[in-house]
Amino acid sequence: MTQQQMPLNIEGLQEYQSKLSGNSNGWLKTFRQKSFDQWSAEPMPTPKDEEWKYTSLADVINRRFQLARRHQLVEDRQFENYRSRADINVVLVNGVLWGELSNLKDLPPGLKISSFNEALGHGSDEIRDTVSKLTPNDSKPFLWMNQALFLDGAFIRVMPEAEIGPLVHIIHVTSGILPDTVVFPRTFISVGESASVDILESHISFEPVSYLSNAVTDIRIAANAMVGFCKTQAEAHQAVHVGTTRIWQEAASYLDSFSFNFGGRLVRNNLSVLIKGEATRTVMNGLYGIDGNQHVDNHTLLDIQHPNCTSYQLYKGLLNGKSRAVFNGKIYVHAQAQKTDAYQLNKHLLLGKEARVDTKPQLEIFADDVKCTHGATIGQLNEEEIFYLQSRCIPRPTAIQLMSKGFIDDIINTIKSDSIRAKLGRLLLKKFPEIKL
Amino acid sequence: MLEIKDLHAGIEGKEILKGISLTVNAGEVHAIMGPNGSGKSTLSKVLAGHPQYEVTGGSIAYEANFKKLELTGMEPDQRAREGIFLAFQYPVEIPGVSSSVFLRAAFNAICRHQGAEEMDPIDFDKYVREKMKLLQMDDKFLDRPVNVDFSGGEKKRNEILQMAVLNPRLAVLDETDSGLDIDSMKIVAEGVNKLRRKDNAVIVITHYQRLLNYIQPDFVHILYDGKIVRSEGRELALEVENRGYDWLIKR
Repeated sequence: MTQQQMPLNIEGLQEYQSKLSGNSNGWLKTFRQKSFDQWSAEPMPTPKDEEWKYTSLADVINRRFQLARRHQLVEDRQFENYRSRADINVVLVNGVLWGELSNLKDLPPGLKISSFNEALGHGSDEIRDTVSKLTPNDSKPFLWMNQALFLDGAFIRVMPEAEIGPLVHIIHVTSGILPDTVVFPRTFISVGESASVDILESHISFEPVSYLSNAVTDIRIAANAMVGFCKTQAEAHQAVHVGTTRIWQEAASYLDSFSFNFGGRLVRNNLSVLIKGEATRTVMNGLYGIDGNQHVDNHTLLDIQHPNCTSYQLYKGLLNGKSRAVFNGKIYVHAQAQKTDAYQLNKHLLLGKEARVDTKPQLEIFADDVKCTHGATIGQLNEEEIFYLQSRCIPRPTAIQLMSKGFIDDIINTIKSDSIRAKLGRLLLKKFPEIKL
Repeated sequence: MLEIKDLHAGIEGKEILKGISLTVNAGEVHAIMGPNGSGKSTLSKVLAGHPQYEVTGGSIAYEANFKKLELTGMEPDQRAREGIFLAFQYPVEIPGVSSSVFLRAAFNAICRHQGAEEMDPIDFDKYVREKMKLLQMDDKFLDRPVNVDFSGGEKKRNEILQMAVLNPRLAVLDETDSGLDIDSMKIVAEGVNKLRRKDNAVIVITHYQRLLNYIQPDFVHILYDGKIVRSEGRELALEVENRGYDWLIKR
């Protein structure tokens, strides 16, 4: 039998897939098979695709990947430093929920956490309903690959009316793998009506090994719920991360989201928010702090299908060395989405002379009574500001530190959760010691 | 304290200051007046060491704390630590940097320069709040980013607050009265007057004489086309108020 040419070269794929298929049943089995077929039929994107114009996957496509064989945390000291006891930690190693490292017992009332498999085993229709409603976004091949091949995942459920106090911290850690391994982190979050919760989803790795993380997160926010959601990505310098986050927002709900990209050689994030009810409020903020040869590409989509919705989006980039950032922010305002108020801004501070940015706002507006504004800036530090600080006794290097830190603080301070802010602050300091004052 | 001799300076190859000489002694207040485009702001920027302005001739000798220094060639922050202060005509906004962090960084830079220990943050906060009272500034000001979304009056008050905190030897006030209503101007002027001592000096750069009713100068200089065309006592300012500049420059 000749092996089918797959879009991505993965060793032992057939064996793995038939085992997965054998372990699944009913809806999941069909779902996996359908995703597998879709993935097989779709070539990997190339820079000829408009959505991948500035981000080349050539290096990924040409490699031969392994599947993770073990799901055990190897480097635990740095891991322990990263998580904090005050949070509700949900730890997944190479995509598999690791109960001993998580606190899944004594959860506050109204919060349910389990592995994806366990939830499906209990016949949860919720996952099925939502996943089938969500449409794929700009990285279909990666979404399908994840759906076909994910092993396990985290399933977080907040019951209606519940107000969850502590931060729910989902930690996807990649550990103990061979070089060029591919992992499939999967997260599913469902927040019931009028509930409120703060969630941090972290993707981390501490071992200097190359791998591809193909992560998918689906979030459903029911009417009147309030959700703070932050995705942090601070992986090894050799890592490639392609993330797909799909959020479904119902009437009068509030989403305060933040995307933080920090580590990895190549990162592509696809964040899409579907507005499925009236009078929603959406914040989509983000920060990337990169250096060396790092490449970070953020594609966001806000799809507004109902009237009276407001959105605010600010993405900031701090670039050192020869790093490169891409931002593509789509806002789609459907004809019936009157009285939309959407704001989008993308700002960059280039510390490295060879750093490069490609930024593209994309507003498609089909309603006639809306207020939509957007803008983008790319700049080096302003000499007049440096002179002003210098004229106040502050040496030039300190002035540059103050201003870079100011550029970051401005956006970090929009995060309401103290626990998230503290974690991100620590990560940033490690990478940009020059901002320490 | 300050001795400017035959100073020539310009920007992007264009000469703006065409031979200025001026001596300022400790304890004195000098006013520099002149029509728009005469070089007043250039002089202030050159004194503070703005990198865009190039000194093409002459010298600026400065003496403070028993040190004799030649300012041309010194970095702006070095000059500031030696006691030179420029109150900007258009104070710059620094997003993300809170006023309290900024003021402490500035103050500590002087402390280190003078070999003194940095002030304890709590003591410093108290020290700043005292100065803020003097200028009738809102308490919340310290948490706000430097000058961001400040009104014109707040920006100018902030300049004088910085002056009060840094306690300079030579303060250059560049059009500090522009954009101020009369009440704000009185507060700002009073702030400046309270900081006057025998061992410091002030140069007030202004287009109009009204600020000079409140900060009374010992000498008034008229700057025109990059040169000082007349220097007299404070009555010259009143004469300019009544007669304008034309009679001074058309000879």
